[in-house]
Amino acid sequence: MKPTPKRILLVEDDRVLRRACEASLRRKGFHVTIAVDGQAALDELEAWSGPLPDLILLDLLMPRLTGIEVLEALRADPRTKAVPVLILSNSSREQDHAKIDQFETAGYFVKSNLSLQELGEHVARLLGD
Amino acid sequence: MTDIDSEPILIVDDEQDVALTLKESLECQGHRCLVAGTGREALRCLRTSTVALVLLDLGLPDMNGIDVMREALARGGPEILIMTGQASAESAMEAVEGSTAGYILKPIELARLARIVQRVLQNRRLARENARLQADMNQRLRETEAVLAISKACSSTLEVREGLRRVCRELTRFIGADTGAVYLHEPVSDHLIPQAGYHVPPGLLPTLLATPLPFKEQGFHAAIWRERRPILSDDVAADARFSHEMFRLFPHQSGLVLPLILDGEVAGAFYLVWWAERRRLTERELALVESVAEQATTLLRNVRLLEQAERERRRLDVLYEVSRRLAAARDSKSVLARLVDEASNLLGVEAAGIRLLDGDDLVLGARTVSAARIMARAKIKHGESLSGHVVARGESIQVSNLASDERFDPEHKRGALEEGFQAFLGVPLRLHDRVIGTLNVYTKRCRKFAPDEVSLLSALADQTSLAIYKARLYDETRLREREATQLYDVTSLLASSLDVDWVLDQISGKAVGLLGCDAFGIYMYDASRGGLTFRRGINLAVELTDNLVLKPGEGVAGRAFESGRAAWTRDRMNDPSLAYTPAADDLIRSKAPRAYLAVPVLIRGDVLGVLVSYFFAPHDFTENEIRLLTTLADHAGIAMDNARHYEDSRAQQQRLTQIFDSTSDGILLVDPDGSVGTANRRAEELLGRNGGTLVGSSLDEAIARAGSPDADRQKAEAALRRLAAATEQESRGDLELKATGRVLHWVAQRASTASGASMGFTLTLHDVTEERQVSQMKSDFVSFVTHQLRTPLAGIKWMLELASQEADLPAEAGSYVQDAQAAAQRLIGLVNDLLDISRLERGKLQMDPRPVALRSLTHDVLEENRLLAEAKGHRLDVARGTDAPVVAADPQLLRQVILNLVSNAIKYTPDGGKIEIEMRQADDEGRWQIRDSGVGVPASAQARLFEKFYRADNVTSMETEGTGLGLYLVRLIMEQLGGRVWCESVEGEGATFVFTLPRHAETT
Repeated sequence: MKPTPKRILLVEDDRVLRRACEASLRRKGFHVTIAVDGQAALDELEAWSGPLPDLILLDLLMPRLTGIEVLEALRADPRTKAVPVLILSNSSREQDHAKIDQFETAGYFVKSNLSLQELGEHVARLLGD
Repeated sequence: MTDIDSEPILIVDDEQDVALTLKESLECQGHRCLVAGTGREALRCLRTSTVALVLLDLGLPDMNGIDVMREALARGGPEILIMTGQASAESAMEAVEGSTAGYILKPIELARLARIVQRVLQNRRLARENARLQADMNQRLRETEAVLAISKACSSTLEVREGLRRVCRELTRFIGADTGAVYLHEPVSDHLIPQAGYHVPPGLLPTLLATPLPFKEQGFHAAIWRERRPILSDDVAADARFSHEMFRLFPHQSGLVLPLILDGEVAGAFYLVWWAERRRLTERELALVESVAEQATTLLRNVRLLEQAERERRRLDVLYEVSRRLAAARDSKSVLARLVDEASNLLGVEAAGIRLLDGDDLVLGARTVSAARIMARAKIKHGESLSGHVVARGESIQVSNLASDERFDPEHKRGALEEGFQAFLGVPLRLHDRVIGTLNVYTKRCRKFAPDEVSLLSALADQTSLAIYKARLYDETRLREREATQLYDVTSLLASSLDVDWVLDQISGKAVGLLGCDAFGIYMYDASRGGLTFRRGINLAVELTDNLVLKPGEGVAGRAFESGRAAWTRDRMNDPSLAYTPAADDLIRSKAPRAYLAVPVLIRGDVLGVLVSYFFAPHDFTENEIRLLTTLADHAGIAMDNARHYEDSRAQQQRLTQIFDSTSDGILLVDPDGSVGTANRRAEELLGRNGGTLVGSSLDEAIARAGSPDADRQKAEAALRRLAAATEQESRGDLELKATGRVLHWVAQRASTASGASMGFTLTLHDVTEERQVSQMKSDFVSFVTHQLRTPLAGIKWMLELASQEADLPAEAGSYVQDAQAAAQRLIGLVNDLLDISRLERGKLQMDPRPVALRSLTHDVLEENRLLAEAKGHRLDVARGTDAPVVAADPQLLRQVILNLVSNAIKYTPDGGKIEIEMRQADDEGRWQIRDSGVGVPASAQARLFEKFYRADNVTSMETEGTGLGLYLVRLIMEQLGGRVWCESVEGEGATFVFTLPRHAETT
């Protein structure tokens, strides 16, 4: 019997990146849910049915709610507190890094320095595949 | 006393025939006989002759025989034999009572008479012999008693005068003289000096005691002292030997001279006088008086020995005392003054003085006040006058009559004669077998100095020499010490003041103190007046100081100035070699002192001026004075030089202060204890302080008051502490000040003196508020741009990646996608570099220094680049090293450095090249280098290689993808990590890039 695919919530406002990332992860057999910004991500989780996602891939610079604000909300909510979050950002703002360091995250990647191949390997490793 | 046998027998009888019969009979017996027929006749015979026996008939015609008997007995005792016709009891009684020898009855039986006469005369002889023996015994007893008394007198006292007086008394009594006197020979005057008298008539005593007798004076009387045996005259007035007036002063009949002979010399004499008696002396008496004289001589000997011992003891006492007093006086002046006093006391003379050898001169060391005229000259030459002779001969000289001495300096002789000095004794002062002077004594008495006096003075002279030596050492030490102190004072003054006139005044004062000169002047060369003019001084006439201009070579000062050496004159009045211009000559003649010493003031060989020491009286300058003044001139030179430097540095300081205060940066000098030593105005403004309140306050407090965020502050404080503790040379950082809203960039640099001692550190505050604002804007902009660039780039990259994974992608399209991917990757790298540079330039890059093993880091990087290297056919090696340096660095940044250097080497080395990496430890550094066989770096480009956007000409011509940012980034990182990077290359022969980093503390 095939194991249940791992669920990933991909939060990314850039359409192209979202598409490439989603495509790549799906090819690798993950179940990918998409949110187009921070607020959408929280809404998605609010309305989540079934087990919560195994991993959230979170962009930082997004309209409505930034990745940092989302992370704060997730960590403040007992339900989502333990969900691993992998930060994928192109931000070079030092203060963002400083803030992220306050929370427990599964890692931080600069998207332009990361290949999809590498991303897939990281995710797989994080999800124990 | 006549012999009894020669004495006649007197026959007194009025009966003529009886008388004749008796006479005849007795004469037959050998007796001489006188006959008296009457009493009167008998008495006449008794009166004119000494009669041994009287044969007395009591019945006489003219008078009673008893009366004749009485008369005879009264006249000295002839024996009486009574002749009587009737032998009555009465007449017998009378005979006995008349102390007669007996009586004989008439008619006289001649034979019986002869027997009786024989017996009577025999008895008389015996009686007389007895009496003589008795007298002789008594005489001897008296003599013995007298000798005993004399002996007692001799031994009862050791005081010579008293002893002699007693002996004189006993001798006079014993010999039966009326008066006696005793004399002692005094060798210095060669006189016999009266010591004592006995029974001298009161009117005569003073004369006697005041009249010395010349021992060797011309004339006959001299012989009597020299006879060395008793000489007696029983008629002194007529005796030619007793010709001295003393013998005539008191007329006397007899005189006895009894000499006292000690060790073969006449030591003295007794003179005994019989006023009226013509005295003769028996041999016995002569022998006795001679033995008395011998006794007295023994007394004298004992007394002399005692005196000698006593003198010796006194001499030692005196010398000891002198030496004690000398020891207490340390400077030579007081030592000498004491010595002359001691010498005059010791020898009982009226004047004393010391001259000391100084070169060829004998200078006056000290003298008693009384010697002022006999030792008047301050200096005499070696060999001149008496002192000069003592020193030249090295022996004591004695002069008993100064008036007739030819050697004595005429001036001194005049003084001596006028003051009544007659005799002189000088002994040489010796030190270490060298004569250093003379000790002289002068006396107003005409006398010879006794050998023991000479030896005493010599002993004193020896002490004197030692004392002088000691005192000279002491003086020398004191003088040097004083000079050193004064010179030290001058040196301190130099250090304490930069006011040159003030220092020159101090030097003038010290000069007067050190040289004891009367006046002092400091002259400087004034080019506008063409000569030396007065600058500062003491005790000089105003006219002189105001108007005098001395040309070089003119006078003493001009001479010293011209020659650059000390010049002096003992007395300008008598120094024809000194030349002056008429104007100066007038001034000098009227206003200047007599003796000058001038020394030049030199600074680095240039004569700036002259110091002149003046004496108002002629003065011989000593080496020491010249040396002292030269030292002072050196000090004066230093003072002037210092003042000049001070002026220069003050001007310099003023300029610097202006710059310091006008600079736009705040500058502080922080003392090692962390307090602000100096701060410019800008620093006060920047730290929000004013009115000089910053200086003196603690820097930490100043920063805290300015209100910087804690993190900034702690970082700054820590850095500054490291600087203050001298563990770092330089440090920098930023401070945001809440109070003023400013951001300050601070740079602190350790400050040291020239000798390396820490002076704390300088802190430069640069107001970077606006820069920071701009920088923040730039940073925000860069972040924005980066994000904006990265997002599409990531999109391109990922899409191309997806595209490249499409299974049915045509091969050609695949290669296009691959090229697009590489281009995208380059663009991403460029963006990353720009971002890093932006961060490094703003100092905003996160640093995480920790131990990094260079070898493994290098291997990681090489692994990543292996494909690239292989693609170009390079041989890429890491040299096997014995050690693997571990450095302190941020691993991410260091990785970037190594990556850039490795990729450069790969890039700029033509295909098939050789690249070698070498690592080693050097002292406290880790050294990493990469050598390639590429095009090399032109020498002109090596220095600029690490600049932003710089690319060497020879690489721009190559087909490479450089941006000119790689090495710039490397340099920024290395600076950030505290390391160095550089390039060594010869163009065309490859290049070596080297970096060094501090080794990690725990591994060094």
